[in-house]
Amino acid sequence: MKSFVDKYRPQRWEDIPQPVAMVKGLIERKEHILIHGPPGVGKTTAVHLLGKFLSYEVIEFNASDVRNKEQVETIIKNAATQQSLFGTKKIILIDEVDGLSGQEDRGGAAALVRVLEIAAHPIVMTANDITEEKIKDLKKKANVIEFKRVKTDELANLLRKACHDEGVQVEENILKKMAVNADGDIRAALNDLQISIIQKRIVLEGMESRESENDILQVLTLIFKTKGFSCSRAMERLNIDLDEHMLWLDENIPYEYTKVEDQARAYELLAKADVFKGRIRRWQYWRFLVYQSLFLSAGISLAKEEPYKTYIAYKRTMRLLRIWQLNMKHAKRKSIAEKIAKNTHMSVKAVLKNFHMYKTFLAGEAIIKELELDVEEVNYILGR
Amino acid sequence: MNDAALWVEKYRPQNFDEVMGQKEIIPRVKALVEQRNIPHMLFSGPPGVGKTTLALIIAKKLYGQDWRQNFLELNSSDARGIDVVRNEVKNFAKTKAIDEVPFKIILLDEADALTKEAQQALRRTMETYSGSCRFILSANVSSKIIDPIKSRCALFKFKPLVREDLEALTEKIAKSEGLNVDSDAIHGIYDTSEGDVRQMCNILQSCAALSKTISVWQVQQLRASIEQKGVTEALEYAIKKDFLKARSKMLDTMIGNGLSGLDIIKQMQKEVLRLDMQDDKKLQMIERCGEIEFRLVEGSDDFVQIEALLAFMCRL
Repeated sequence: MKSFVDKYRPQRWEDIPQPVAMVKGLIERKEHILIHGPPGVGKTTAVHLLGKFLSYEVIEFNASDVRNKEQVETIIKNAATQQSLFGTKKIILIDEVDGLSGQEDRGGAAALVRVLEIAAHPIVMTANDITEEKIKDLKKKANVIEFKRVKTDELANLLRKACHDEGVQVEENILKKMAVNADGDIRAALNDLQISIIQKRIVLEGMESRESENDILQVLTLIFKTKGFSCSRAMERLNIDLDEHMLWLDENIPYEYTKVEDQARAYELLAKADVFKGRIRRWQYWRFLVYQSLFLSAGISLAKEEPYKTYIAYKRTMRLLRIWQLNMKHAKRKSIAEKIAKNTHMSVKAVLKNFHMYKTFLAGEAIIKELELDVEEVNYILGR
Repeated sequence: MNDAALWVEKYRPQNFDEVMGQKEIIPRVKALVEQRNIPHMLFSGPPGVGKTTLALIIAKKLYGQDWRQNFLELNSSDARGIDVVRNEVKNFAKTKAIDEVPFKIILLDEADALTKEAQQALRRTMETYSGSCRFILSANVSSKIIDPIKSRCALFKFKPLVREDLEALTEKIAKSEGLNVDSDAIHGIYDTSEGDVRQMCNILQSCAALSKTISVWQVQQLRASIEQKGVTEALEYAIKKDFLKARSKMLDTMIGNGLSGLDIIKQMQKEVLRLDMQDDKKLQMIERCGEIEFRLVEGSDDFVQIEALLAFMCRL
């Protein structure tokens, strides 16, 4: 299943409810542009659509990939200053320039300013937050255009159209609720809709509170029902607790992925994520978190050959409950093992390992007396 | 022999001469005890070959009736951290030993369960109290004990009991308990116990609880139950490619018996070797076991890693 975000991505730049026409004019005049606005309002999509419309080749960089001065100079500068071989026109798109983080970048932002000065092609940058100090100079060299949060009505229209195309009936007030919830973010709105449709859980209550369990279910559904990296972004956006998330995955993988090949691949990624979790603890190197969280989202999403169509009601992990139940059931076992250990110069652990064998002969009268087993302990041994 | 109800205790040797299979060790230890002066000692060897028994005999011979007041038994794998060990030692060492023998004895069982750091702390404790206490450390593997401790101890390597010795012992106990055990069953008991006398006593007592006549079949049944049936069943489900059942069985076995991932993987690896399947598949499984065991040693999550192993086996 294609993600709704991809499926319902606008096909024409005019369809984007933003000042795209202004961007178009600036590109045609070969001017640099800084588009800013919250996530999911169409910044990147607009640039790509304009490129297609105006027959420009769009060369995309993510600021978080080219961080330091050297990288900016070698990679972006080359692309921005060199004429392309067949004279095709180019747009250099640099996403998330506010992601260039201050100190580490060792002059990344400053190098980018110099690139803007000598570039032969229009450079379009995007950012969520332009109040950031480090992009202060970039702002001066480019035309700043704001993309606003998409209005609730427009979002509702989009959702309504998607529902229509999907052949799903959704009550009007629920669509509205979803649109409000998305807070102007088209991507979030489409993700929410897709998840709701998949889960057949289009209920008002369900959408009202986006509590952590609800979030986890959403991400889980995205991971399982789509194939790719979009679930990683959703997981990041929703700020999912990874430990909790691992338990949910652990429980539900075999119900969702019923082919053994998919299961094995998914579990191997889960296990690898667990290994990285251990490495974080051991080395206190927090960047390993990136791998842990990618394995737990895109990794498991891509572990399947193709998405399963069957609807699965995802369950909470049974493991913790099971541990608790069995501990209650076997509480006596430990007290008995302690008595045996004391009596026979052994460790409790060693007794526990062979406990089922001890159980076969402990119930004799002499032994009960010698170990001073109480009634409850005897009942436990006899399986009462 | 005494009147204890548990046979491991009932038949635990009380004198040096009763200890079987450690012919090189016994005379040396006996001589030390007769001089009423023993050094710190490290007893290493597999379980159930007489390490604890010998320590108990030493205490009984040195202190006679009062041995309990002069003998502290600690188990490293149960004690929560080296601080617990240190405190117990401190309290125990406060009072003086009885007249003739100028020291008390501390038996620290399963000392190889202590981390290297804990062993360093233990070494200091040994030095602090060496005036008033002697330590007897026991360990399955002496290589897991740090060199500074080894250099302060007299080393004694215990050997597993050979078949003749263990079978003779089995027959002796069987006779004393009025059991009818045929020779096949006696062989079976040796095979199952792997030279571990404690295990042999337990197997015998367990079989005897059902019937005074013990056959090899009974022993085999018991053997199957020693090797956690649940693990075998989980493995069978995995080979039949039923991951859900394999997982459920495995979780119950692990949680129900308090088994760690390492306990499980050791048994799985052995069972995989016994499986009737193509050699190349078998090798792949063993390879995977090795990888998972390594991750567990590094501190990964028991459940997740074992589940990944089962999922891998389902696919093969």
